[in-house]
Amino acid sequence: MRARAGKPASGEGRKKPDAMPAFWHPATLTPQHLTLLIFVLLMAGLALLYIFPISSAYVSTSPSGVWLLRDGQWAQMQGTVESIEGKTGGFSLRLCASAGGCVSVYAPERIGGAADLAEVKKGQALRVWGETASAQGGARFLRAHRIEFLTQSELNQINPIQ
Amino acid sequence: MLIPVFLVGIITSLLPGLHPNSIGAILNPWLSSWPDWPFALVALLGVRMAMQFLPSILVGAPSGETGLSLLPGARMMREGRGLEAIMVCAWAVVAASAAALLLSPFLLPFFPDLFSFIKPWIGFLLVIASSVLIFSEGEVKKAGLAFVVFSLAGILGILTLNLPLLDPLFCLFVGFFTMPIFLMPESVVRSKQKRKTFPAIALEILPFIALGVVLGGLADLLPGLSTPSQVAVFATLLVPLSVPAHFLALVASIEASHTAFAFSASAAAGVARVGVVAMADQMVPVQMQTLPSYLGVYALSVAVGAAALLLVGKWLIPRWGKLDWASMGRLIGIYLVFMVLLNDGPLGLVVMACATALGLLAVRFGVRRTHVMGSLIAPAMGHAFGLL
Repeated sequence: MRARAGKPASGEGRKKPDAMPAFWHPATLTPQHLTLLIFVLLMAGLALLYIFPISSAYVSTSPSGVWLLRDGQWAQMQGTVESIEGKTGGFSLRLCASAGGCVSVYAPERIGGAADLAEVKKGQALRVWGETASAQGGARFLRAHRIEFLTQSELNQINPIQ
Repeated sequence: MLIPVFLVGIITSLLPGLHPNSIGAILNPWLSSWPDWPFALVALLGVRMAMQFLPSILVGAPSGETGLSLLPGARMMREGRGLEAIMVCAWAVVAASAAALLLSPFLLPFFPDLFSFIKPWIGFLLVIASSVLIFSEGEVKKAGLAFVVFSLAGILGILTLNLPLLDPLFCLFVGFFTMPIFLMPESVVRSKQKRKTFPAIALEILPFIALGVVLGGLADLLPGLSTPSQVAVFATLLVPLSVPAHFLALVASIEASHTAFAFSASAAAGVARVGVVAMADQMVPVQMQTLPSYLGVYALSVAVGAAALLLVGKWLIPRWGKLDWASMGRLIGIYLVFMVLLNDGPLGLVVMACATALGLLAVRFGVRRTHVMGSLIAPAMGHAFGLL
């Protein structure tokens, strides 16, 4: 279609018969493009969380189960404190399950979580997240990332009152 | 679990000075036993990454790691281009986050080589950039006055960045840019907005977003040019402040990519240069096992934040000029003073007062207020020449 006389030559105000759809306008970044990009980012985030759920990094296990994991694997477990002693830059705990089986846990001083390691006492119930490792003699232990005290209700769920 | 976190993130992002680092520090004692708390913190960070630009555009209140978005953002608002500024920020944050998430595994190994190539020249480049900035005033007398403002701001910047303040840039930038607005009613941002719908943005902002992605990555890895604000100032060499949309795209993309790269840098090199990432790392370590989950939460929350920025911005910006600015200005001023006091105590107020005086001095001299950027350029020069 030819432009009629008197119309601006820039094309403003003209109708093009085979104009591209409003969405596809290659010279600019339109709000529709942005909406699409936001949607793609949203889907990418959801896909990542679907494939790698937040809780998937830690395998749920028991103190004795730690012995079955390979070095470097992350684990989450709960148990009661059998003993605790100060080490250079942290604490060494022995954590046992009520059904038996114990494992050593090394906790650095500046560890995450709500448990204040200086207040931990024998018999206290803890939940520990950490990474399995082997000591020089081959003994398996858990290097803690974070430690929390278990609440009474959580304790009751683990060991229901008879 | 993330939906309430997103709502909290959107609401707190509208309040300048309430950084996720501060929120994390305040809520950590109560929520650290919540297993998903580190991911909630990252979600707050992601939402704020996009939303933080709204207050800086609306009232010229500093936000984010650079605080620099308030310069071009508030300027575009004054020109009646508020919705365009929102679009530029949303584009930059979303595109830079997506690019940084995709590229971080490939680019991170090359950054140290790139830095060692430019490192010897950074100090000289900053001297040239500062000279260009000062002499761009045109007249010799004005350049002299600009030099006075630049030098005083430099001294204040060096002193402030060495003080034990939680958020030194916040009190500096509130003083330089926001308080003078409230003290000079004639400069109030009350322009009529030209549009009520979002405009299309020219493709020419894409190179600035790409540059921002690279510079954001450098900010994660470079010990000498460490903070995003210093990187952004360094970027003024390449992008003049005279085109506000370009500079806004650059600053927004530096902030977004700096945070996105921070997760990979933490997982790969154990260096967490973003406060929230370091905080999360203490609870659930940012390592290869958890990196995809952290990146997933970050991508999701940036997308939610960008959508919220568009929705809230579209509703608020056309109505902003109709508000009773005299009352609003006083309230915002009192709020900002309170936040400075909360974050940095009486020392922060002293810094803010000095910065306000310098901001007003620039106006009195009739030179551009961008010369107060000496507060960031001078410390960066000091680092580059090994003097600080």
